Amino acid sequence: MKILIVEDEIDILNSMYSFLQKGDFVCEKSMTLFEAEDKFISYSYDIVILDINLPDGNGLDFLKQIKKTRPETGVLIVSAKDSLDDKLKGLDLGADDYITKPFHLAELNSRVNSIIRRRKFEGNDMIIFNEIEINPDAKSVVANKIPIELTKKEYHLLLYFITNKNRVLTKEAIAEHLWGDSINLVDNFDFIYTHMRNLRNKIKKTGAKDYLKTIYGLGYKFGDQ
Amino acid sequence: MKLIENAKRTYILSSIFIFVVSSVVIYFTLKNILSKRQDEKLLWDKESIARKLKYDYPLPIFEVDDYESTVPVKDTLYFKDTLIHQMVNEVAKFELYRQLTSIETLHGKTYKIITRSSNVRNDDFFLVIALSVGVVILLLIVTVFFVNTVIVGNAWKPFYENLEILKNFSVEDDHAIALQDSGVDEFKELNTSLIKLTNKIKSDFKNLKEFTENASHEMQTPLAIIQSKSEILMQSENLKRNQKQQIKSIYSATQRLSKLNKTLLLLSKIENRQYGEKEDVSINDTIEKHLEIFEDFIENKKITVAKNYTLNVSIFTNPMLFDMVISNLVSNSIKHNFKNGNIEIITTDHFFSFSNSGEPINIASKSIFERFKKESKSSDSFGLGLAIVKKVCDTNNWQINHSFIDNQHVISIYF
Repeated sequence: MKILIVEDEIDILNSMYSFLQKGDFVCEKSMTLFEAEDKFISYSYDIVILDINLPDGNGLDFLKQIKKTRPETGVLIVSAKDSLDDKLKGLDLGADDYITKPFHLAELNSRVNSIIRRRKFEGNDMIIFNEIEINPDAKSVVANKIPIELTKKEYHLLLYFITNKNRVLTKEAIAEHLWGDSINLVDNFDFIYTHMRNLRNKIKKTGAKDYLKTIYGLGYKFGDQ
Repeated sequence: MKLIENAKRTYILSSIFIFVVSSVVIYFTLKNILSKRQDEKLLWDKESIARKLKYDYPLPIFEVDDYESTVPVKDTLYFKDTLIHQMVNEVAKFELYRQLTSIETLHGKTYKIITRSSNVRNDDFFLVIALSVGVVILLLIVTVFFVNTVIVGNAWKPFYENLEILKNFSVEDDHAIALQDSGVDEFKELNTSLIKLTNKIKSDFKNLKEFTENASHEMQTPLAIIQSKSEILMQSENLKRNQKQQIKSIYSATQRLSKLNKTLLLLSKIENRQYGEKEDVSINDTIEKHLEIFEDFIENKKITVAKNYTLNVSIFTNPMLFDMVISNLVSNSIKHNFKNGNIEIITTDHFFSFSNSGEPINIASKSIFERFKKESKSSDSFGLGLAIVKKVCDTNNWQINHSFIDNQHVISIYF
């Protein structure tokens, strides 16, 4: 999976790069529109993460170009502006998703993965993590060859964990992923423990390993490392 | 009282006072002068009688009576007012006379000379004065009334029109204020100052708004950097316990700051009326949608929700803004609720309300809609939720109310 990250702010660019690079992605960095266009012509990318406001132009113009020449490329727009107009314009022009700064890196990763799933780049639809298998089309989960009945929230929680496997995830990032922007209105995250506990118990019941670890003071980590 | 009425009243009252005082002064002055003339005339008559007596000229009409007097008399001369019984047109009447009595010794004989003059004519004279003063006062009142209502009223008309324009002045309005021109210099000056003032207010307000907006926008990139870097840092292996804690503190503070930033941007966006498109939005559906989003929070606090819906009620507004209102009201009624508390939602075709059990608040009902007003200092919230709700209500011309009755917080919105 090859990703081109176009972002003029070097610190954010490097953060995105190192977080995504840790997954199964090969990432390329570009700080200007000119550089990005140059790379896009020379190489092929599965996903382009595109900042709209670039020093040498508007990212939306580049988006038009991407969609014209290689429409199979997935595009995730990153913007500092939480503007509905920009969002609609971007999505109208064929972008797959839109994320507003500041964002959680895990959320970015989750969105990128969701674009990949939707575009079915890998041929195989199933998301497999050791003995846990997720079928995103049917939204069904099998662990240790035993089907598990999960609630909507538990399903999304598991998908988020597996997408961001072996990474430390904060309560805030998890809550925002599951409940969206409304979570900003709430100042107590205790309720996520309930979902976490239920998910853990349901997986453990099948005899599968407990992959969910609490990282002291920070949050959670799902993985085998 | 209006300025014109006030001036009119003062003017009339003071002119009545001046006229009364001046007529009294005129009356006494005239009376004084007339009496003096009368007395002079009486004295002159007496002198001419005395002269005739002295030189034994025959007195034309008068008869001279002889009296014996035992009391030695001295020469005297005195004036007095006296009533004399008279027959006028066969009616008996007392008339007031001015009388001069003088006792004089001529050729060894003592004479008492009495001369009189009627006062009747003087009284008529005073009556005329009073009457003419009265007529003048009446004329004056009529004139003042006419001048004020018609002429001055016309002169003030642009003033009242401008006052109405000023009452409807809003800093958020884009147009410069258009005031009526009038020929009066003072009003012209006032208009110039007002236009200058309102333009200044508008540009200050605009600058402030732009500043908030720009500051919030500029803050987003650094915030994104801090947040992403702290997340990258979290992924490092072999972090010590206290390092983890410190990273988490940075992370949490950044989260708070970016939340605040987003909310401020939202508020300025609503203020700028950047949400335009309005449509009919179902109130019940929107509430249901948000109750579902907050389901976990409601269950976590074991809150009972009672719904008292009127079927098919809709509101004409921007759906995104209405979402924000409902989402804030729902989260608010959960946040400030007790464990095992209750929420009651009522919708009708002209208002909807959210009531929830909760602690009484110390701040005034009105100020809970102000920015950064919150009950507990320790709470993580910024106190901006209800400010957003209020702002949306303001831009839609809805009335919003908060009350605390029977340990229930009730927030109602009338649309």
